[in-house]
Amino acid sequence: MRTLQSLVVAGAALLVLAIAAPALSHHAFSAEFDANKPIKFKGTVTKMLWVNPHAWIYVDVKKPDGTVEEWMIETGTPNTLLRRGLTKESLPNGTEITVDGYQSKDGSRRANGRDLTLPNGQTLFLGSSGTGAPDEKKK
Amino acid sequence: MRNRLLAFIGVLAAVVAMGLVVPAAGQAPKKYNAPKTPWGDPDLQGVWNDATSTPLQRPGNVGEKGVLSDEEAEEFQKSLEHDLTRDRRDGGGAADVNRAYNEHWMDARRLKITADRRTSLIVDPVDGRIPPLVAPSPERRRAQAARADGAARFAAGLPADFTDMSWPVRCVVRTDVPPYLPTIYNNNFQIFQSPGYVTIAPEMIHSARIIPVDGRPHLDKSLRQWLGDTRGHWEGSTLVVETTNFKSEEGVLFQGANPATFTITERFTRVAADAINYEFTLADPMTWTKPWTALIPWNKVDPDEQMFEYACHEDNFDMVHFLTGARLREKNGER
Amino acid sequence: MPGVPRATYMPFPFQIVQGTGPSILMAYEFTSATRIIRMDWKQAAPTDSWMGWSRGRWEGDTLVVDVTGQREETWFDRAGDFHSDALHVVERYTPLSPYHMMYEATIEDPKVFTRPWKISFPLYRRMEKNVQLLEFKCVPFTEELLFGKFRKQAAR
Repeated sequence: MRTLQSLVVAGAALLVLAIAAPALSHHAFSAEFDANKPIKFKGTVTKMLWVNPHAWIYVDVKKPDGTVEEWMIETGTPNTLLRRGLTKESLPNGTEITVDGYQSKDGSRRANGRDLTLPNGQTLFLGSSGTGAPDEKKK
Repeated sequence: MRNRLLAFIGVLAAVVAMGLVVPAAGQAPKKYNAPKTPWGDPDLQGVWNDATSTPLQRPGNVGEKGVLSDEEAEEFQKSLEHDLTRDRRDGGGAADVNRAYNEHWMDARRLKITADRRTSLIVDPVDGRIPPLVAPSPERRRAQAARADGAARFAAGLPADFTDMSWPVRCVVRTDVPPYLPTIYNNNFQIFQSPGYVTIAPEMIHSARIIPVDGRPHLDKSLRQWLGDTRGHWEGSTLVVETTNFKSEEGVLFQGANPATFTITERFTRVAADAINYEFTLADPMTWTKPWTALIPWNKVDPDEQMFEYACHEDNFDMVHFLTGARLREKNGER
Repeated sequence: MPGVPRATYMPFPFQIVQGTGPSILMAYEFTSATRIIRMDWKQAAPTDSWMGWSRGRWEGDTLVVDVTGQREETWFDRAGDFHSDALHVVERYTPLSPYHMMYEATIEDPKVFTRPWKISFPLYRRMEKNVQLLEFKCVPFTEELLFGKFRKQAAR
């Protein structure tokens, strides 16, 4: 039992190592985003850039004093979402989302979108699509 | 050494050592007659995905086992979803930030146990691990150290220059430089065939690896390419592919192999209507003490799925963020 | 990547890989750009891309390709002739002989042009022995221009 757990953990770790080989390493996010600067706030989507290598969601965040800050949220590759049947219309401007992530180390208004949810708690995109895309059907 | 290993491991090792495909547990080892194109070449066409749960190297605690038993496979499948999912938020901030995004941005296939249940993608050497490394020459050691210094600056979030970022982060190459290895998403390749050619289009980053199979020679040695220069030929129903003429830049090839002495042979065999066996053998006497081979099963994707354009450099805001972020932090006194 | 139709008249060759499936691959030497022409796809472009969303059909011997969903940032040339995200291009590739193809593209963009317009020119098959597309990865040529100014300056 314990051996198998070790197998799985070691396997996962080695898989990560293999992936981190120079030829195809994906950058360590801790290089840019600060694990000690977690952020969580509600914002209104003003635009989404469906681009690679990262899609970007811009949100306006209303502060207690009434001023509005614009944040740039880094997300993953849009290709995965497109394969699930989503389109650039899937996140309309004006949608309120909750961003749970980590702020960039340089203190600018940029964060990686660790968890993006709709006000009702549903994970963004999984909750808002329902297009019957192949990947959703399989799940 | 080899005889001692064979005696210890028994039949399974003998099968692997002979270079045969390790038969998947439960799959009858009968030969599949791949359909042919109208001009008579085995048909490899379609969109294929190479995501797998199998690690490249055999983990330490599984002994010399080449394939998981039914019970182990069941346990492994249960653990996979928990261990690799990006939806988990445990482990503290440092672990959490590196998981980056949610699981719905990732290739879900890597959370499902691969059908052949092998314990490593590497099939040769029989221990399922990359052979020991050759001690680098002083010159290579200096080059590797310089790269490591750059990587350390990058990891600290303080890159000095755009050269401190890796080639994938700079969007020069990603999973398109051979050997093809799976990653967390966009593990897709589309194969097209026409008389005299087999063409492989990887998703990340867009390109077309147009492989002549008509026996023409490679490009002149003086012409160097990031993805090398590829020629193929058929051996029965297997497409055998040789690539040379890699550029001399350090850090592009697997494990920083030396472009001048690196060789790679890849083999593509259609083993079922929805499966291709992709096998590669790497050799570099300046990097590994002996050549090594891995086998990765490719699966045909749902016809409703497809490849999408993966432009990278065009919208690579990361580079500006990394560099301006570093300059700002230095201005604020960080080193 | 240059977009369509510019990719067709860049001074670099391209290769058409036809295959026997429902897709045709066009591989351009310039920036190793590629695009996949889907012969059986009815779906509209789910998002914009640099090389656009290409749906093809046959009219006799002519390949007709309908291209939508292009990024608005591409130009028709180096002089800055631009288009919007409403660009709609219909290409026609008609073989004239084993060595020539006639290319025609109708360009429509109601946000930019008062009416559609057409371009047309012959494409000549490259007949060099063992001709192949060479690689043109342009990223390394752009980095100094784009990122050089963010380099850490030596301490004074």
